Amino acid sequence: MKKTELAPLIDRRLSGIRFEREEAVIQGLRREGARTPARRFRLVPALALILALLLAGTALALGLSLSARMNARQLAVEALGQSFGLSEETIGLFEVNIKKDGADWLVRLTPKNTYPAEVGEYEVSIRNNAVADTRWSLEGSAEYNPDKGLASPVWGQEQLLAYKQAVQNYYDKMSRVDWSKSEQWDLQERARVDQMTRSDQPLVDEILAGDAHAVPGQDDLQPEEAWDRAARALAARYGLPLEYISGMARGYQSFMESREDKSRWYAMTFEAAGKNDGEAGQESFYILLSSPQGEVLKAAWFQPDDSKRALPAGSLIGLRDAVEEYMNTQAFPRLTAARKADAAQRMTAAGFGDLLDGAVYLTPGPGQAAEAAALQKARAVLQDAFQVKGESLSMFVQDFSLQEVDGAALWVLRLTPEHEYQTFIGPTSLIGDYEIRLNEAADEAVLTRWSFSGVDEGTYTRSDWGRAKAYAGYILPWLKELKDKADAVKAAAQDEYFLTVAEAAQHDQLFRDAGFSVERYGAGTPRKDDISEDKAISLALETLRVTYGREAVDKEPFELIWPSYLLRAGAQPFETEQPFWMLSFHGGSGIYVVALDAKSGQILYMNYDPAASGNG
Amino acid sequence: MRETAAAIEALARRLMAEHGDFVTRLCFLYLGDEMEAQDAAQESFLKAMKAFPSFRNESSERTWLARIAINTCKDSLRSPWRKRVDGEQALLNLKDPGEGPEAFDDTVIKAIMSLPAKYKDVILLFYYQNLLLRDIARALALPLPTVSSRLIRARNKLSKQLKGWFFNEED
Repeated sequence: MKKTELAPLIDRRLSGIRFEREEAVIQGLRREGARTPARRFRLVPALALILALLLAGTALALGLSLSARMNARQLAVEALGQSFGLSEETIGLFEVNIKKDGADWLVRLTPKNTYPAEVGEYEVSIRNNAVADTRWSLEGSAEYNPDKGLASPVWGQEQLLAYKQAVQNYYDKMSRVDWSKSEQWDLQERARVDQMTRSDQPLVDEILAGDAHAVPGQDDLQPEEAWDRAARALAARYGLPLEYISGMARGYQSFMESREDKSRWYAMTFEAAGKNDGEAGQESFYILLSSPQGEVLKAAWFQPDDSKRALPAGSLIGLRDAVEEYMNTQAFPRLTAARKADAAQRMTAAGFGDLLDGAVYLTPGPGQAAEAAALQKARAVLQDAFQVKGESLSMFVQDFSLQEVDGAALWVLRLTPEHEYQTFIGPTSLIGDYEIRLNEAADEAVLTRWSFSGVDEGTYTRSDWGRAKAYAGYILPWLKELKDKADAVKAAAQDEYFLTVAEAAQHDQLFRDAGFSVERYGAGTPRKDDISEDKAISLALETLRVTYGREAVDKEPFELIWPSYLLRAGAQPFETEQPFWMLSFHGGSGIYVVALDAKSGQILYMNYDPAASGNG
Repeated sequence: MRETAAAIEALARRLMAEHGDFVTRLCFLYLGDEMEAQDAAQESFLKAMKAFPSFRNESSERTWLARIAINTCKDSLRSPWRKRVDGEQALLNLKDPGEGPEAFDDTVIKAIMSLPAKYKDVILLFYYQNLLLRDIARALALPLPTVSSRLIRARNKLSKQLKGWFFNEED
């Protein structure tokens, strides 16, 4: 799955959802004295527990050093154990937030996930290096009934442990399935595995849409017939020759049954032969066919290369699905002005003019500038007005057309960033859109517009443009250069998602050299007097052994997922001004993370995500 | 003072205009109910405006709003008064924006809505909101390695559910 595939799918599905509460927010802001949310906790009498630094003492004896924050955490864990029976194992089901208030600490545990019962929240106040107060938001709840086991509406330590074990059992069972061959499974095998892995799902909360894999019965559409019907249906839907579909490789076939209404259907894919074409992906069709009727429930055509996607030849009447899919790609904007006008005419003739969003496309003719000349002129205007030129143009989808606007024929050039550039730096594109309009003779610009005009009037250089709030035309070559270099680092990396320490340092240095902050791009290279990566790993493992027991670390498959060396804490849930190692391990029962000061090896942070918190 | 209030209102209107739909859709994906999503989005913007003085521009506004919205939704999900919503049913309840019958496929969205919350977090922020892993870590206040491992596990879960459908070996 690629980023470019999911966002349009969701946006299309959720396009009907618009924010409707603007005025309510404004009214809320106008109400003076916004209420401070009441504390959720019923305060119980302070326990005034004075606990020695038990774990810290053990850690020190083993040569481990804990930060003050980690000491506070360990004090809180001890206190929660004494007050409510919690242990490190079940604490992993909660986010542990540690807040410093002067010399005091507040440790708060909030659920990491939604669980099948109420688990509440826990708080521990630490004053003068001693536990002053422990609280559980559900303490004294009449619904807390340990005798009911997991059926109790409120869960304490025993239920949490039982739940954690049950979920672990489920994941153990899942891990015994050889998923690598799932694509080759026949329908019987799919149904068998589905049935087996579903038996525990009500507890694990992983039910997928209530549908189950099934085996076709005698009255159902049979698998081979389903393939044939699917090919014919796709050819008709997209106006393609049957040979085009049937010549593709058969991909995946499953047979599903709705648990709700028992309706049944096939899901199938047809895929272009050969391997994926790099980032561009692979052309494929998918289709859902009802059984036994063989009616098309859904279908889609993935064509990652817009230039290869075209409207069906001939009349478009009856092909609305294909036309609508086409218009939801970038294929139409990439057409020449003349071909746009032709496509628009065909769509209008078939009754699909509404898909043109009100635009009236004209065919260039006598009295109007030739299209190529008009485009050249529009680009020259763009360059003069906004310094967008040369290779920077390749960063945009260029939509050029002749349109009727307010009764006049105008040449319109619109530039929107290609998706890869739009999302390269962050979720909000700082590149913006451009629009140039020329009169029909293409000798006069009637509109020049950049959507980010006035957003940032500063002047930046190659080494500080990362601070800009909008990337003006002169910045675009630097942006492209940065992306090319960053892509090259990732392309050369062993794993795009888990860059090694050296690869991550190289990657982030590129961004820092362009003016981006070290808090955001913080991967660096260890200094000479820092502890080595091996030493950091060794200390981290020892910390985990002390905390979770030797069995957790030494007796189950336990592997280092990702070592990282960071110069600043940035958004980390702990504070340090110094570089630190952050090490993630995967054990059979979850993910463990330890952060250590890079020079002293002091433990700054530790976290455990058991499978039952969602990290299966 | 009046000028300050006016400036805050103007800022709020801009944020809502630019990010209102995004925040509401994000809330819907968490809560599975359109009205609850509107409520959560409204609350998110009010929280955001109260907290805006502490917004230090270390992340984009969108990342910052996403973080507030996610926390708001999680609080809502923990509420004992909240009924459990079936993700698929929530999708079916939505008005179909397309004119043609079954204009598109919901398989992926259903699969994502069925994920445990912490996987849903990273998948939506990575694939839908297009955040960098570091920005996701910032938005969720999680260590970067945790975010990465969750993303990989989430992808693995989805790939099992969508094998040969939306996932290819090379993806």
